[in-house]
Amino acid sequence: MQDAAREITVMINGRSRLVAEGESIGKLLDILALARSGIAVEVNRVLVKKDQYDACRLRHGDVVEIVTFVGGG
Amino acid sequence: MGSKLPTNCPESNTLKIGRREFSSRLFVGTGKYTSNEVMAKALEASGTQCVTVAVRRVNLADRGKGCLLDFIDSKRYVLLPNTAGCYTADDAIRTARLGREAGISDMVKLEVLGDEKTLYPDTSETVNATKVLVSEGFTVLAYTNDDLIAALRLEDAGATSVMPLGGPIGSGLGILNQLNVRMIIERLKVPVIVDAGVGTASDVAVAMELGAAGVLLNTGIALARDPVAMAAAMKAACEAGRLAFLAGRIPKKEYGTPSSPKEGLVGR
Repeated sequence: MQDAAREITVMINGRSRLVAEGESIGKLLDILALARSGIAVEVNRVLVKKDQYDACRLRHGDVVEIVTFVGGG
Repeated sequence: MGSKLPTNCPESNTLKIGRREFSSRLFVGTGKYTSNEVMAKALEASGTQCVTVAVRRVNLADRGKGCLLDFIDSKRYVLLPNTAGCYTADDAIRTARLGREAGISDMVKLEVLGDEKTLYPDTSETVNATKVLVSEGFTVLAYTNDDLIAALRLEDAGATSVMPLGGPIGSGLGILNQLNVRMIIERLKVPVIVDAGVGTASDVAVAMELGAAGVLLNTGIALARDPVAMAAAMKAACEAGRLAFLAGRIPKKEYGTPSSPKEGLVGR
């Protein structure tokens, strides 16, 4: 019998969120229904390159920022 | 004020910024429009080929609104991410890196502010950020004030373009210190793009007549009563100002000089 995946707390765009421990950024984006183009991701203030999304795994307490382009001058 | 062309302002029809070449010398912002639809029409009317965008958190709570990028044809417009809202070099550098990752270009409009009320740029932080970003391969278009020394420091720091304000952001006051802006244009070797303060079409024409390589504006179009019509006006003004600059204006004189001959007057 498998143990249920442990949940951890991370901050995403300033809000606390429960995710599966070790979840990848790529999987997180899928869960959030975000396309990979037109966005950028930081974990703990370090930019995560697009080709690293599936390799970058979340740990408890991580601070994630997901940004995109909005109107501006 | 003579008609001699400054050495940093080639007669070329295109404006070269880094690896890119633009036939339109108008750069337009994407903020403050009443709707994305109006923005898209205004951008088209302006004839611009380069639009600024801001870098902000994805709104995970409210996914209802259309995405800005859905309304900007990436084949038609180069996206120029800005570092608006940053008050330190660190924040601006961080934002620039995010902007480069989210987009596909190395260009960044670097904006590091020093005061919330006037939105005036912090020269020292802007110079520091420019040095770091240039070392990371960015093509930096640096927003600055209309001070010659600040402009020279940014050029020395490696900025590909220096962008002095005409007036405070969103003020519509036009080019408040034409002499200062002209001094910057005449002294710098890099393209000088007047950015901020444009209120109406004549402000764009004035900037181009001073010899600016281009003009960047947002509020002057976005908050006009008819943004699409104003965008068309700005386009015409940019072209008119550039043509007038290249044509070489007459000097200003305090007294009158007749345009018709004095000889051959009847009855004399």
